[in-house]
Amino acid sequence: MGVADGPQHKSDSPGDAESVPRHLSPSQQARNVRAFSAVVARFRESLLESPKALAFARDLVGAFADSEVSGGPTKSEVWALIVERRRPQYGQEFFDSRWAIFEHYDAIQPYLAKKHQQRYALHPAVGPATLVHERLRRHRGIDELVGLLDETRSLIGQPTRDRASIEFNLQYCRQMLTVYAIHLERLVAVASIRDLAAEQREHNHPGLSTRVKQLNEEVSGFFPGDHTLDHHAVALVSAEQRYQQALTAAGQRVIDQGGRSLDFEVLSAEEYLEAARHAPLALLSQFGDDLVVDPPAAWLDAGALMETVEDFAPRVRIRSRPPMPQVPQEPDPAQRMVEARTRERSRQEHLAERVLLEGEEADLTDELRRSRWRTSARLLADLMGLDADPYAPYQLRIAIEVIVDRIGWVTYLHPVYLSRRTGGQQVQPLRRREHGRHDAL
Amino acid sequence: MTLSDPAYLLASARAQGFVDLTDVPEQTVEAAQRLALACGRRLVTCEGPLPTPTAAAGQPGALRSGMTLGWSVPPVPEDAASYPVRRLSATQSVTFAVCLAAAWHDVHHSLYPGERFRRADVVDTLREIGADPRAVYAAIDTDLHLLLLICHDGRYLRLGPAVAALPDTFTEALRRVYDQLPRPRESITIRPEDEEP
Repeated sequence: MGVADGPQHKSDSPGDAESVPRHLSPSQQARNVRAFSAVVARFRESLLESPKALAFARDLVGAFADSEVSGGPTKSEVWALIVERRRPQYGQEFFDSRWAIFEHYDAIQPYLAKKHQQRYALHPAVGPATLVHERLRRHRGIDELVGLLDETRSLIGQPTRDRASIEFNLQYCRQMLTVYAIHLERLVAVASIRDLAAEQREHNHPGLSTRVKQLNEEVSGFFPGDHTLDHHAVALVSAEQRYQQALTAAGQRVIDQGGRSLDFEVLSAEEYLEAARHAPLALLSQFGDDLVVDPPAAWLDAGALMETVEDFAPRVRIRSRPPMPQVPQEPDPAQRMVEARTRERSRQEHLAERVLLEGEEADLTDELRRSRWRTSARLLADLMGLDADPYAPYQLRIAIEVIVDRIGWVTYLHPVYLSRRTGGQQVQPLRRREHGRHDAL
Repeated sequence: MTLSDPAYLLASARAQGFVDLTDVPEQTVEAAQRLALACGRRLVTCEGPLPTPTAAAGQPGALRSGMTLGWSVPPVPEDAASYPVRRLSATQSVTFAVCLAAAWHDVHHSLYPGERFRRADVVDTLREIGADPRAVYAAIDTDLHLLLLICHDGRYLRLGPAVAALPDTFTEALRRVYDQLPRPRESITIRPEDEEP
């Protein structure tokens, strides 16, 4: 990771036109670069932590690139180019001292391998080293981690997949994330609020969780059944979650402690709101000590008062009748019975009229004998009903003789005569009925 | 800012509605009165509870004499509309009108200080009128006291310092419509004052 053979220089703020937005404080950046360069530092104090070093490196790269002198520029030409185009913030002594160190580390080499050579060329590794150091000024190195994740994903996507390197990458990402998480947890436990707040800015990479998740899915997709790789990918996901938890805890601690001590330089607008809600009352009441109160006096206008008195009416709640419920019209059972009775009666009368077409009296014995038992019983019942009805003008007479028929359906019956009743025979039906009951079947 | 400063006296009279005169020297009061008259206000002697209901969070003290800031000459707030005042709601106005009628027995006398009246009479009258009882209780127990329109006097009620602060035009206008004020029953008002309720 990183360029190992570039010269060790630390950098903070750039001095030239293409300055990268600075998010970390200078002390943060210095700490980053020190930890970063500890990988290849030989002596204890061999690191340059001033801001001008990175500016020098960038200016040098730009000057060597822009110089169109064939055979390479001389040192004074480079200095002239830098002064002319790059507006450096350092003096020539600084330039000379840095040049000497770069020469010692072979970053600046003579163009021809001859003695007393005045023309130089720049080792291309200075450029990438400058890039890496600039990235250290933005985030501590979370970009490197994200870059490694992307590289692993592209490795997986290629047809020539190198399983060993993928495994190594997964393990290394997980270890880096775990180290980040442990670092954050340590800070949450012991650091001050400002350090925590500054620390939060270093970890601001929104795509980290998404990338880890996607990487996990791709590993399972492209290496089905490979349990070791699966295990590494899952461990990576859990390390990332631990990292996110530590990040949230750090943020929470900033809000909590910042709110408690009402350290308003640390709080954002949202945290002001939190402090307003949860800070103790005694603390918030200090804001009211200097307020002036001028309560309005009551004003009474005689005219308005009398108007109110006259217009005053008690508010009576008018109870309105609830709406009539819509009842569906169901058939009335009593009505049904009456209608059925009427229908029955009319059927019987039609029957009687059909029978009495020829004259006033009809002999229904033959009809009864010819019919089946059920039909004749029905007919007899109808006639009896007609006879019993005092409003129907019919009259039934059943004779005493019994006709026994062994062959027919109706095996025994009496002769039955139906006649039309006239007005004068009202009394008789009663007697006839009683009489008929004795003789009936 | 001490009690001997007329500006302080005027400011506390305005902020609290009623100020105690126990330790204030005479010249201060006169100076404050002159200043008030110059602005269209005046200091009126009255009796009011100390500490005031607003300051005492509901437990006002006994009546003592003091001063309140009243209105003297026009323009009064209704003309100028420049001074923010608090106006009463409908139920509060009717409640206060009944209290006025109960306290103002003789139309030829001035409105303030008036007679003592009983809370029960006022509440009964209002119930007959048909006012919402909860609003009436809120008005007669809390709102009118906070506005210093009425105040406690032992077991009775009295008109408060804010009534003394009202200008004379108010009294004149009310004299004309005195008969229309809803008053408690006659039998109650002619009862002698020293009878126990």
